Amino acid sequence: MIIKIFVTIFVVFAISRAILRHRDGSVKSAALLIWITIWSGILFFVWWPKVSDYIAQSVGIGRGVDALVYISIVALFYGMFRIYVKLEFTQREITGLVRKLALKEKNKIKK
Amino acid sequence: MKTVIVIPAYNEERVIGKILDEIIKCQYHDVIVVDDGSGDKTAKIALETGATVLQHMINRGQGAALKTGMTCALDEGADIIVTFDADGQHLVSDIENLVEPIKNGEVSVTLGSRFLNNSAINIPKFRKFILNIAIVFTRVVSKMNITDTHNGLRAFSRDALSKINMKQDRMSHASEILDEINYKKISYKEVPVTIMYSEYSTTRPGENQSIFSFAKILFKYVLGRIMK
Repeated sequence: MIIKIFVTIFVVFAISRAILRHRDGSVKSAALLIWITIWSGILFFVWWPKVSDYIAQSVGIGRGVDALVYISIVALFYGMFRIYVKLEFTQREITGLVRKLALKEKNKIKK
Repeated sequence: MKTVIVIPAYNEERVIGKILDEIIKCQYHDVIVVDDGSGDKTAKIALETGATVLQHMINRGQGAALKTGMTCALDEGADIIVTFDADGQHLVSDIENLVEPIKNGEVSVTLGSRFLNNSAINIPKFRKFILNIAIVFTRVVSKMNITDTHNGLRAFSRDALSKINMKQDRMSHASEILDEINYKKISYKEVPVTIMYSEYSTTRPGENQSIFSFAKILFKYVLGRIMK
């Protein structure tokens, strides 16, 4: 029971942060909806774990908790890949800026 | 025909002056050095020799430095662009052999090969092993039947270089250039060149030829192909 309350408090905190970020414009409406859905889903399965068991068994996985772990690992790997790709694009943009400056400041040595 | 030599350099104060003097002595007066965020006097020494110096404020990798130098060379009206390493492994006398087939219209790109005439002097065994894997990989992925990859000594015609779209900042740019040559159907030939491995060139800071470094280059290259 205690863990359920802790998770609920954390989910409320996480959703409130997402709403605040949405208000200041750094999170788009679609992203806010996705985050609220994910956190609400987590909350749902924490309070009604038997539902996850039922879903897991219907796709051939023994327990609901196992299914959640599998899904989480896949989601985390995908998220990591997305972040890595975004990082690569950011790196390219930094290189572009560094290049522009270098070409503009030809033969002006800083050191 | 205006030939411009592009040299990416990172912390090469010990050798850059000597290399530039040799190049200028051989009547190549259009030299662009791209100081890739060095913490030493590489840029200052290069400027004193009369080369054009471009300075990256922070280190962005050899691929990025090469592209900066190539962009500048094209802006300055170069007809032929030669890429040359700053660590003293290349011979200035090889430049003419690379430039000649482009000058006479035989091909648009020439790629230096250290293995055509077995001219990799003092090559460490492990590096030869890694290079052999890279050659097999290039033959399979880039579908180019070449004898050397990751050789920094190359020459491009202006037209060919304008077609090559480089996005890889770090060492995987070498495979990317080969891919572009193949994809854009640019004519090329390999030219035998000598690579002199010295204690300096194999042990200098930043020189990392471990299996992990190779795996990292491979990963970046694959990721770059996905992101294109």
